[in-house]
Amino acid sequence: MEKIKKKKKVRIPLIIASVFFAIYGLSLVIPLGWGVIMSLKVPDEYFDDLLSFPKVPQFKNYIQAFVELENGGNNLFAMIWNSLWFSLGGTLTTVFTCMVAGYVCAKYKFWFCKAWYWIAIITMMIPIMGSLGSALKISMALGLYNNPLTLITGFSALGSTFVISFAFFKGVDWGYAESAFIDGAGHLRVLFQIMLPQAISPMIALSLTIFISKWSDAQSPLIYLPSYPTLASGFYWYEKEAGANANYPVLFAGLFMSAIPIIALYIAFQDKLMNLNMGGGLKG
Amino acid sequence: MEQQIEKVEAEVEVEVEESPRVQRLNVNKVKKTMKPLEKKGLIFAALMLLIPFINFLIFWVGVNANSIALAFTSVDEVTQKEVFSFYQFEKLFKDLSSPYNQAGRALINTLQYFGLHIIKLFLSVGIAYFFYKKVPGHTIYKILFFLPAMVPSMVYINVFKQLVSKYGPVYTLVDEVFGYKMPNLFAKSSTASPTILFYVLWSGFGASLLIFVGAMNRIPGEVIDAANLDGCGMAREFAQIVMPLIWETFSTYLLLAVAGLFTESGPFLYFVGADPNSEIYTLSYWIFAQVNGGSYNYPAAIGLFFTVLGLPLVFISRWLMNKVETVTY
Repeated sequence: MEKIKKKKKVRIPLIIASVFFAIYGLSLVIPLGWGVIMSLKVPDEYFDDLLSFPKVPQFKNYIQAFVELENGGNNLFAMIWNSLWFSLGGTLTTVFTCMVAGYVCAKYKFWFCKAWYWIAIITMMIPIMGSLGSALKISMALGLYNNPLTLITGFSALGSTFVISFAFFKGVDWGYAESAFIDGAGHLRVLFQIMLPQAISPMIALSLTIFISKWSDAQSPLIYLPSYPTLASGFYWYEKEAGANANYPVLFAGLFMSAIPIIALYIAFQDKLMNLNMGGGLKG
Repeated sequence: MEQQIEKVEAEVEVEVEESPRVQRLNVNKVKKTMKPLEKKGLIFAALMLLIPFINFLIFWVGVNANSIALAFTSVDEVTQKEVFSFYQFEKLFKDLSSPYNQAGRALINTLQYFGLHIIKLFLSVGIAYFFYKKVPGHTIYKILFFLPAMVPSMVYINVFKQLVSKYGPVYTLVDEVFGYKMPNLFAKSSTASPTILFYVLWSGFGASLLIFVGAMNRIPGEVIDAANLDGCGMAREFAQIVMPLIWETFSTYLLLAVAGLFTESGPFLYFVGADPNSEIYTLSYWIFAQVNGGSYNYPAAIGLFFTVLGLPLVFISRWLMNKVETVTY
């Protein structure tokens, strides 16, 4: 009897929490549902009543978005292409560089590796503010401004991506590499054929988080790539320029289409996201 | 087997008989055979770090050195040439001492966003604990709570903005239920700022929540079972068992939050654009708006000033967090 009472005591806070979580969860889903419904209206219907369902769902808004959502001569196709290379390029350069540097720093006893680890920690702990103007000036001086080559800034091997990679490779057994060396493998072969394949899981998780943040990043393309509007910066410009005349149903249609790649990636790799671990790396 | 032992013994005898000079030669021999492998390893490590190092020199050292130079530069009114001066800092101190200045306002906003960040961290770890305890429906809640991190922010912000806009669904509901006609929330900074703060709180647990759940899932089940057998309640289990065991992960997030105090920002671009004269921005976004508007020197000075101001905070926080004994398991 006592046991049952104890079980009930534990359950009640969980049930109360569950009710709160359900309310909060619904508050996150309902706006998206509302947005999808609004994307199926004609503009007049949208402005007349923001709470009703469309009389006839306008699925053509999703096609019209490709024509109407335009910024500086770039239509939705161009913006999708810009988003793709900007996000994918930024993700691949960052993740690959951080993984390689993380492996080298975790496994090679070399003063420079130790120094690099501390450079990464210090730059993370002391984020220098106000250097955006300077970065822009240097970008212009190097010819990277308004140029897709700006992606080379991703080869930096700093920040939390490096710390996570470092923590991961610290935990990988060096015995695999030693066996490969005995069999005549070189350092490069060990890296590409033995170590990196073991890191697929954190690589996917890191790539996913970086890709999502790049896909949603409107500020960097606005500053560094004004002639290459991504979906994030393009929608901002469209709304700003159209003002009150913006075709919101079409804008919503475009916005929801822009979320499809991210949701698809999340569904495909959601279990990998749970494996991210900073490993207390900042404490030194 | 016996033969092997004899062989080893013979080798030991030879070694004992060898003079110190011969021994030294043998050591050199060993070193010589090790050297090529070590060298290759070092060259490989150096080559792998070469590109990140060049990148660091240009885009971190170079950019920040240039930013410091910009902070100490102003345009001479007579010659129209850039000269070394403390003008930007004089302007900053004058601005900070005035009650109606943007930098001071941005600092207050930054502190508000920092406070909210800390509250969200504690809320995240609390929610993560309920997920760890398998709250009914936790699988679906995990997906729902991650939605704002998964769906691009431009989607959520645009939908939220239309929901709370004048004559929007929230306006209509509030009007019908309470008879109160909501103002345009983004027309004045006094209403726009709390609205964006609310959005930030509402929309963001995301990745930190997942990482805390992951850290809790690594706690050995026996520890929790033993505590439960001793009659440990949920609150005590959370405070005295779970938190110390995930302290390393939690303190890392806390330390990163303190380190990023002055770089805190909000989703202002989609809410209010990039008007350099807005009163609701944080320091970081204000710097972005200034640079976007073509001003480089004053934002660089402000950035430098607050970076230096934040340094002791980071080191004190790190020292304090390291004082907490970490439990390894």
